[in-house]
Amino acid sequence: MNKKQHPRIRELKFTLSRIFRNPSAIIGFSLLFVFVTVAVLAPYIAPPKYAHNPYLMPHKGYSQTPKPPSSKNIFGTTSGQYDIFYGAVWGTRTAFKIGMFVIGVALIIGVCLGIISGYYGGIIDEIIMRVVDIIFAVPLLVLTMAIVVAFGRGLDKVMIALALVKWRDYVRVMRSSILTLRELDYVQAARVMGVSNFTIMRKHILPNGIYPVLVMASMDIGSMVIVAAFMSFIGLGAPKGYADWGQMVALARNYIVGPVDDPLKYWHAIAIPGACIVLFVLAWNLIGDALRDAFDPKQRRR
Amino acid sequence: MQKIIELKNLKKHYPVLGGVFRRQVDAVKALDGIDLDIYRGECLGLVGESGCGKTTTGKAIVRLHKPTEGKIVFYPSEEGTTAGTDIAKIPLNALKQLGIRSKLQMVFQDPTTSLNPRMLIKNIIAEPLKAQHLFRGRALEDRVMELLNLVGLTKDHYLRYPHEFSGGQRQRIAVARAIATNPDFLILDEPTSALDVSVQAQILNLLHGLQLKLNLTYLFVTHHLLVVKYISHRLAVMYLGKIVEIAKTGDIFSHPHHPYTHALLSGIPVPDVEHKQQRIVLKGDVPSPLNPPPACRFHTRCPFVIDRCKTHEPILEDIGNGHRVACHRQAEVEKLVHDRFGKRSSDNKAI
Amino acid sequence: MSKLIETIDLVTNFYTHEGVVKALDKVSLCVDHGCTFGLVGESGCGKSVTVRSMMRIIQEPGKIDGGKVLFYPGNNGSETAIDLLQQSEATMKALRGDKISMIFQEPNSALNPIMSIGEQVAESFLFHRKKEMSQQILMDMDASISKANPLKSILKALYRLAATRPEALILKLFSKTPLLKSWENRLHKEAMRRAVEIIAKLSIPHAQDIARRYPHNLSGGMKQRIVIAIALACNPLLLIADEATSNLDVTIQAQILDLLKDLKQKVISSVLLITHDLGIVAETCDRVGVMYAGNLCEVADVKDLFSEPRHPYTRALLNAVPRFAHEGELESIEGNVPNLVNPPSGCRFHPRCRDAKSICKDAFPESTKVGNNHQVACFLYTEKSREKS
Repeated sequence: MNKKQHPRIRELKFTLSRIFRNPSAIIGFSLLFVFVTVAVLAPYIAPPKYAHNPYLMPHKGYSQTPKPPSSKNIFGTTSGQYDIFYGAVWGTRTAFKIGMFVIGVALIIGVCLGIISGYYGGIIDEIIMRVVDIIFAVPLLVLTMAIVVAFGRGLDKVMIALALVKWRDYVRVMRSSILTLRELDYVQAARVMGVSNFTIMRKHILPNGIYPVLVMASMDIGSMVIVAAFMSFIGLGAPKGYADWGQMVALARNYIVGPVDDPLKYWHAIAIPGACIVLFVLAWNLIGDALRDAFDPKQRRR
Repeated sequence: MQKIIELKNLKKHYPVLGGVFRRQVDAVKALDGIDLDIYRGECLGLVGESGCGKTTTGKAIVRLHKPTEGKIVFYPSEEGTTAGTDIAKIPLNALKQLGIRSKLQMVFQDPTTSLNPRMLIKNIIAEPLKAQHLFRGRALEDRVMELLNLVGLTKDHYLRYPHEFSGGQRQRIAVARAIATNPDFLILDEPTSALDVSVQAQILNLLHGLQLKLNLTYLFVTHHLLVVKYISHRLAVMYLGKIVEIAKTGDIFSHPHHPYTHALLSGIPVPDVEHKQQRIVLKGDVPSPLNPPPACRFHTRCPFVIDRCKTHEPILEDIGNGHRVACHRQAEVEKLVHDRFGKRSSDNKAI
Repeated sequence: MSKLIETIDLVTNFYTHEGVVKALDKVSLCVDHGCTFGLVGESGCGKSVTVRSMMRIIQEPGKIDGGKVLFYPGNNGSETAIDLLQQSEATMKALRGDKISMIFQEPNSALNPIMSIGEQVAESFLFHRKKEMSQQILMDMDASISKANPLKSILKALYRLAATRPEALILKLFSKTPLLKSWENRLHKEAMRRAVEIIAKLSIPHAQDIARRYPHNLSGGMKQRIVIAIALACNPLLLIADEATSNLDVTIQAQILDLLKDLKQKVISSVLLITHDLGIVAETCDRVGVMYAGNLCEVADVKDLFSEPRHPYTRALLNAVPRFAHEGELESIEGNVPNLVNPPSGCRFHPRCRDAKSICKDAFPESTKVGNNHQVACFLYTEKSREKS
């Protein structure tokens, strides 16, 4: 091992080497890299037609029947003559927005409450966990729909609603990993040294206990996109014409099967946004899998 | 001699909750009335089997838990001050403000779990200094280097993670962290039992050297009588939450007066082939601290039990030279052991 | 004395991410019939890996890369040696727990918390002694029902078939019927009877009662006794005790050691005891092997080893052990146990050795005989080093 390197860099290298030992991590991160590139370069790949709202898909005409790929619309058009290529490109940005926002907010709430609940225990723990239990009693989709209906429809409302529901998972996982950490000698040692509770949580408990939650969160980013797509599909999410994969699937819902003589006639309308969703979810799931292997405490060197 | 810590009737009962409403139905009596004086500059060994309350005593002194009853009086070092502070019940914040926190420190048993695996050595050692706001910046770094040198580590080790060290080195780091704030009193909770024989001696010698150099007082908690022999001045033997015998180390080894001490001494396997002494094998297991036997707690396993042991609890009485024993038959024990089990191991000086 | 089990140049490596851990490097030792062999060393020196390799229970990523493990099941004479490393997994399974059994450090993880103590001991009989038990039950039946009874004789024929050919088709057809269930029950009952018998043999009071309890009802010392009972159930030729007492308290350890000594005289023929405590070795063993960093440094009779330790490591180790009569500072061995990914060249002890010479760095010392049954792997005692110096 090179001694001149700063140990933190060495440690980071070690962790990265562990992650990229796993073939699924390589596939996952390459897929993610493609999505990130597309999202970043969206204005160049598919220049927006309406400068004030680039997420609005351009459309020529109002015909309900999707048109097959052509030189003008390389992925064809969907119902309402929206350009599928444009939707797929800008939908990537939407997907990242949904995943990052929902999971980010849910993580912050969940991790904070989980640490407090697990570290202090007693009556605080009791209250927080009972609230979580109550939220857990209602299924994710039902609760989200209820909140969206109360707020009014829209993609932003869906995102807020999902974040408000999703944190419940992280509280439980975080708390359970804290409960074992709390009794460890180094936490006790810190207490003997007079380190304040806040510092103990920040320096000793958070860095050692957050990995299970991180693994879970990385997998959830994908599934949140599916849930948001579902909300768009049932008409509670993005408005018509918004560049969102779920919304595009919703547009094509009447053209899943083509006419009797050519059932695959409108395949592009459903397959392209569908494939985007599947690949996006797959990428995050593979990454989550690789992270889980890399952070597995059993495999960590002594 | 000047006292540094005085325990008065210290008790710790862990509640056992039961029923739908989680009421307390019973209590595990981990510590059941400990009286102990620890003098400045000495090393007191606290010996006993697992579950006897020795670690609980140590953790009570650094207030890792709140004792149920009793007093822990700490006497600060200033000359002339005889007034101690009872730290058994005061809030933890007050403990820090009074400056007592930095004077009482602890070294834990297993160095693999007592060091945060995601912190660099320099941060681990600097942590108590930062927490007590004692040093900052350049001075902090110098102090950490000084501590590393004190425990026999070098500059190379400064920027590393704990997993890059062997068990003995990790324990050195833990010691460095404990002495960082210039404490007066260190609790050593089995500091060598997770280590190998060859390294154990290194740590013991290091601790001994530090005691002389820094004028420390130790409470050495261990289950192994022979280990503590090299470092402690006095020994206290515990059984089921009570102290049964306390004396100078030499006296415990040459003239133990409690049957339990005899059993402990003879139970240690001796690394010598010539010497085949009769071993006192106690019957049965250590009773549960949930409901310890009445009167003398040792009577269920004692080979010399008489009726009085089952009805009257023996008190810890002084039999001269600071030797205190809690046994009704303490005067005859030595003869009884000799008659029943033959020669004692430590009489055999020919090793 | 005749050999019972012997390893020749055993090499075991662990293929980890950081590199190959050379856990065992040419370990050759031999346990005789009727002998208690102690294997001592510090943690990580490979003593556990040695016996695990012998039993072929090395876990991933470990691999046995060379050597032989010869087992002599015949009671006298070494005519029928089998190399355990060449045997099939099925043979090994039949061997483990029957001819060779093992007890581990942690009794809690060795016992199944949801099975009663009796069942766990009985399991060993059901696995290894099915045939013997069936014969006995049939004999008992013959004795009890002598009168010709057509129904009973059909039953008996069925049972006989179950005892001799358990894989027969007809038995599979009947396997869920009460007829065969009652056979199973008889077997179970017999196994339980034997279990209680063996528990009682280990001077555990109220064996009947204990057999019905579950592990969490018992104390650590009692659990370790039960583990010993399971290990001894089938009268093994060799009992391997891997740090069997190091998690126990002094007074309980004294009980277990006494029990082992007692059993040694009555039941077990040979014991391979792994420990880090030289005291235990001195009190219980006949022969000792000292290991350091994957090498066997010294093998000798217990008396010779303690009176005349030859290897510098053995000497240093003996000096580092706290003793009753010892005064003053405890001697320590400088330095730390080496990392076995890059072990020191030559003799693996040379960086910490006080008597190290230049040759120690370059060459690996072969095991040499220095006395009656006393072998040392150190250049202080070889011809080569004398030539050089």
